[in-house]
Amino acid sequence: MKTLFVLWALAQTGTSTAPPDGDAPPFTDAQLDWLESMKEQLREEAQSSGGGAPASAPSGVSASALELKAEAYTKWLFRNNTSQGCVTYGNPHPSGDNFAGDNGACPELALTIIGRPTAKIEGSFRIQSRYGQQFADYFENGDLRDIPDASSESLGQNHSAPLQLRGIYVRVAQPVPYVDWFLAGSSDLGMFDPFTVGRVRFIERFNAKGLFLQTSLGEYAKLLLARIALSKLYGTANYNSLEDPLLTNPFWARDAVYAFSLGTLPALADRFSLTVNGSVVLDEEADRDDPDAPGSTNTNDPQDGITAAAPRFLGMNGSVTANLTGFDAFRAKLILALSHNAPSEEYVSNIALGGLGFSNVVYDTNTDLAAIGRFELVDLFGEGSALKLEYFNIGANFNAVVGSRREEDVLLTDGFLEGGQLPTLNLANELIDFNDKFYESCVGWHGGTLVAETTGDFLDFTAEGTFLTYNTNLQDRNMDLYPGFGGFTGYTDTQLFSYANTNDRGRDPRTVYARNQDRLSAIGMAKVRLKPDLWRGAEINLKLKYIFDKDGRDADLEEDDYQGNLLMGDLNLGGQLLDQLSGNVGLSLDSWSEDGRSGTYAGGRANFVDYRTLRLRPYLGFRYSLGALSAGYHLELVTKNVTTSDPVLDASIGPVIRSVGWIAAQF
Amino acid sequence: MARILSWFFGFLVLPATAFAEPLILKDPKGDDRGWGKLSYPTGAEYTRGAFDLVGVSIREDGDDVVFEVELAADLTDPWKSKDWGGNGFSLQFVQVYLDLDGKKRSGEKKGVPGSWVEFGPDQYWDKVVLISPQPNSKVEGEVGAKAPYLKNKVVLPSRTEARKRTIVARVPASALGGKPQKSWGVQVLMLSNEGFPAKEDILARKVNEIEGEHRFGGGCDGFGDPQVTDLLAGPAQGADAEGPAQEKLLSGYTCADEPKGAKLVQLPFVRL
Repeated sequence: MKTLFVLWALAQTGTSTAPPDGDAPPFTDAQLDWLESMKEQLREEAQSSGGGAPASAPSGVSASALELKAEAYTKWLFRNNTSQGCVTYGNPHPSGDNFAGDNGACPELALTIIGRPTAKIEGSFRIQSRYGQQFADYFENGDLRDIPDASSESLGQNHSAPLQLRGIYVRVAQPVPYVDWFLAGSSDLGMFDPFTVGRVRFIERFNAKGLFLQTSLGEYAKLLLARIALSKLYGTANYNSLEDPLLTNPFWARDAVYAFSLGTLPALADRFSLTVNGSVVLDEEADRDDPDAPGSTNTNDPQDGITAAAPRFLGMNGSVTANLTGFDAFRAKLILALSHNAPSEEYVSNIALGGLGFSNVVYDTNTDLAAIGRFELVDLFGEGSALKLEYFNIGANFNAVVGSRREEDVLLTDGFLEGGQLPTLNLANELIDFNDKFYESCVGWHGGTLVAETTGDFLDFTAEGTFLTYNTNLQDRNMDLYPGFGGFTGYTDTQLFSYANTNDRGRDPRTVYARNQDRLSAIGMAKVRLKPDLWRGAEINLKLKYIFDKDGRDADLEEDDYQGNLLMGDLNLGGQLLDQLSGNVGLSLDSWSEDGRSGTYAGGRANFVDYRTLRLRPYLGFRYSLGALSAGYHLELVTKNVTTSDPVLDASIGPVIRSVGWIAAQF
Repeated sequence: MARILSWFFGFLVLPATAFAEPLILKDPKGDDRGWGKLSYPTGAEYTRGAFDLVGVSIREDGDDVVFEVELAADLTDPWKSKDWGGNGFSLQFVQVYLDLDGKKRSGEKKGVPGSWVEFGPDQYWDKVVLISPQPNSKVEGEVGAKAPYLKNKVVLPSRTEARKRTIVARVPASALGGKPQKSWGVQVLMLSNEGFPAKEDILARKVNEIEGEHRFGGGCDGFGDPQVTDLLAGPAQGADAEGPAQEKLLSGYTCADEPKGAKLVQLPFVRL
């Protein structure tokens, strides 16, 4: 009855409670207020009865103290081969994994629970299914056998999606005077920078754990102190802290990164900020000279029930970042960084040895510096334009071992590869799909970049010029100490990449050292984004990149010289097809001319082969979104033709047809 | 083909059509503390000035109305919005409320769910332009699920872009019932984008009593505090006095454990 009355009353006033033009109000203000409150109540009831989110908890029931968030995610991979798995490029560890491959449908569930018993206390954890189960794996119970069979008890836990505890933390605000907050547990480590402690990659965002405490120095500065558990998989020398022939009883539970971040606050300087970050990586082992250490050969000294520890790897990184952002006409940023890495020969074996080593550290104690200076003139050529100039100088031995591994970018340049540049040998180009970006190391890079850009209603335009040489240029480098990452050479083919050199993939993106190097490079890039009013959400994107890359290699030989002229192009058309559906279609065309791309010095004679590569990649993609549900699909075809100065090496690959699709619902 | 030629030559020869004067609204720098006590989340991605509104321009461009929302700091995209179909920025969520007819009590009183504000005492809004880094379909789905009664009042840009310190959103004039008029009442709220919002909020990041890594502080843990870092106050000319005026506007809320018990702040429109 109340509903009918309110509807009638609202009808008297049109769709709102406004009086009709020229008429006297049919209701008093008090009556209108009541009608409006009734309207709100009706809406809430309609939402509740219609299955929508209620605007408030049912009467008499307190709101839950717990916040629940869930996500169901499924990914589909397809390729015209018979490899099966859930991710294109899996675990690069020699023993690999049993979930990487090109064909599969793989679901994942995540449930996050956040509780706030009081305003100052927050606790949370996440229940996450282990990735790797395929639709075709139903009934798998997690048992693992050497050979897969039809028993549904053979593929192991990766294929049975066990639920795993992740993202657990407790955070307390103002626990004691002068402390802003304290957190024990998971963090994405986004409080530092890529030169010291880097933000962990997206898929690892719930995995890093530590103790974090922030205090403010009045209104002028804040100080963060942290002890972060060292990832035993990559955060130390040789990518791990336990798989080392020199260790009989690996000890990793106490390995940690000790870090701080000191930054100014606006009250100190409004237009300028200064941040100092520092970190010490300490990987310890039981001191083998201590008779209490497991496996100790010291039989001379008496045991005292105390086991001494000795460093297996010690890393120290520091950075100072000055940022000038408070002026309309320009911005300036200066980063100075230092790294010191010291693997212990007693506890770290030398996997760099022999020049083909895959190691994230140089097998030597070294210290080096890095500097980046960026200056930007805003609106120089009119509104929406900018001219940016950057100088970078990353030392040959600089290495942020626990810096960012991917998904960050410290340089302005578009670079050689489509991802970003990071000052570490410890990059992560694994556990990604074929359409994900590759990141490259900028260790040793020395040069400058000039970028001009303009944005507007009709078009955005960016042009870049970069010239760089390399601090790593050296003759007769000791590759028994410096990692060579397989020693592969030539431009990296990230589209047809593999961990083994089965597709002539070129240089590993982590490679910065070679026995003989005398290299310089230049990068020119231009991209245009047109926004015509031709169809809904119309976009036309064109990107062209040219790279000149020259490496004299052995200075005494001309026969091994490398010269690459690499041209890359991409044309893409996009639009909004429906309210919920957008799409794009495009074509990438790469033409690489590489003289002396790869070869050997077998028999004491340089024998290097010239390569001409043509790669074509038409593609299309869709993205669908409906409130809490989103989905995407990408399909592409890749062909690659390689002609060489040695016809035996000529190759034709493809057409590779592959796709990746995903659907995710949050509830 | 005719359309292509028309666009191309239209681009080369700038149209000579006389456009209406743009509506220019300004806001003082450094007042991104809501009611004076609001504090940013502690996460490193919430950079200084990221939620500090300093100006809004509403201009006519052909059949479109272009909203340019300027911030005190360069826009950033720490969550890589292009990877999720977004618009080139990650953090901000701008709501532009328009009172088109100026009639007493005409339109909606309450702000979009998640803003936790209302308009008044007797000037309500007729259209709201939601300028979000999220793809339109996500915003549309959220509105459909949580406030279907606003379907005809919510306007989504046909294109949203991040340009340095300015978010540019292009809206068909027809969706607003016409081109910008000086008679329009305008209010612009700066919120923070939350891709995984609370069940009662539309893509708005929460303000709590104490700030967290991804939560603003200075409000309350219940309901009723505006989830707004900055807005237009006074005559919107960017004068220093507009900062305290904003704090006064936003501080009149009362928190409660349940939405029904909350008293929301009442916001006015700016009229040029």
